[in-house]
Amino acid sequence: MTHLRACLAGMILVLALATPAGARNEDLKRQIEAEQAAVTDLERLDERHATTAEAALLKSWLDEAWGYYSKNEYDSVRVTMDRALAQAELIRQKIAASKLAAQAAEREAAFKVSRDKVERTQKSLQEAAVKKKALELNSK
Amino acid sequence: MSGEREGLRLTPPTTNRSWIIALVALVASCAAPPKPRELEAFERIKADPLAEAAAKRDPALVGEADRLMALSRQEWQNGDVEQSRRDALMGSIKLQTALALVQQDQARARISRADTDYKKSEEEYARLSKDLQATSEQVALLEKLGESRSQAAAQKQQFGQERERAAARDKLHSAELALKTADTVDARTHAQAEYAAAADMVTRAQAELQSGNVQAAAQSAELARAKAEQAAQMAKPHYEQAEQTKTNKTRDEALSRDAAGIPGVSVRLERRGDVARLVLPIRDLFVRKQTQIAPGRDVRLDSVAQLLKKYPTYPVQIIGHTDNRGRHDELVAISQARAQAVMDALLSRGVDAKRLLVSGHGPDEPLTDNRTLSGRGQNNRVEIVFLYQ
Repeated sequence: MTHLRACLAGMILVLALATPAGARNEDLKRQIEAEQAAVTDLERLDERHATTAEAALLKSWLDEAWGYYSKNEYDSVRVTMDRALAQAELIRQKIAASKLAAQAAEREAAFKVSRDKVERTQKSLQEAAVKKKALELNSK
Repeated sequence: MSGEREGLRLTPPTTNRSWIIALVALVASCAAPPKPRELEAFERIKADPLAEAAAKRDPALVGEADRLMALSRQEWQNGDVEQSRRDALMGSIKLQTALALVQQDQARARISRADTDYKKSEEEYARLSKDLQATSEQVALLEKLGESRSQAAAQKQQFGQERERAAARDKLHSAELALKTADTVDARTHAQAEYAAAADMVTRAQAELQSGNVQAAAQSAELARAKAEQAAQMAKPHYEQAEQTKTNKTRDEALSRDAAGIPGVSVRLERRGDVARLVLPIRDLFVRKQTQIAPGRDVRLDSVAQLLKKYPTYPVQIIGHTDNRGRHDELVAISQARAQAVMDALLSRGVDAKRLLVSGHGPDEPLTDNRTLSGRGQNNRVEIVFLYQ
């Protein structure tokens, strides 16, 4: 029984020591997978293809991370993932910026259209005023 | 020191310098590795004009990027190229993220400006559209007014032309009427030149009116009317005279017929100068030398009185004649008395005295020989003489 308890205690000790690291490694794995899924989402969100190069780079880093993970080089995985997460954030911000730039271009185009309308209407109004004056003079 | 020492060959100064430079470069290259690409790229991004704005936008992010840049450079200097690359990459990502945030802000500002400008522009467009609509409506009204005035002017002109045409037509009708009036007095015969001129002018006026030359037609019609009136005026007395002559002639012929119808009277028509004389010799009214109509013999004067009353416009002479048996002055007196007796008988039968002229010519106008009884009977007479021209 004592031997059994000792074995059990030893196993518990090993497990207690082993679990955080294992869980952290599992987290890394999930993180890589999550980021790979995120890249797909980001590519879908990037309607204007403003971050194609950045996304390709991100994918390559995620592949690199997988490579390190498969070699149990977890520190390298973390470093690579830090970079990958930053890159993902960059991609998000650049997508947002491109969308906003597109909106701004749309609004500016709409404004230009409106200005053109105003100019045309001003011209028409001037012509109508001239015509009106001529008719008024004729009618006197 | 001269360059011509024996046994010592001197190299030119430029070549020495080149060797020294090459040697230094070699030593330097051996001291530090080439700058990593990532660091160069990072430095280029750092040179972006928006980098300053990015530092204000997200100081933490840009501060971290700066730190990583410094670290990367240090690592590069120390020969830790791999780490230098990793830090340059990370720093670059962070700086680019900050720049993306600035770009977002700029885009938002553009959107806000564009929205404001768009709103102002649309308001201006609405105002201008309203003004344009109002002005266009006014223009349309003025055009309509102008059109109405033009139509009114055209109608007025047309009306004026129609009025002129109608006036010319009226004048032409007046001229035609005047010509017809001239026809009633046979101006064609009695005022040939004037009538022909009037007819020509009427024809001319008709042609001018047909061709649309209204004013000329009016003038021609006026002239034609005047000419026709002149022709009528000139022709009227002649026509009336001619008509009178015709009437007189008709009447004279009727008188002759009626006179010839009186029983026991042989009518005689003679002319003395311009005067025509219808002579009705009445015989056997008196017995020898008497100046009173024998009783019962005045009956034949009834027909004469009726004739005289039927033709009241003729002046009438009652002339007594005798044969030549007796003194001339006695015979003249007898003839005069007998004529007077006949006149009295006619007056009693209602004949107007004013037209009767009584005279006695005695034996001075015998009709036949006085030597025979019948001859003397013929010469003893009272003549009722109708005078006309």
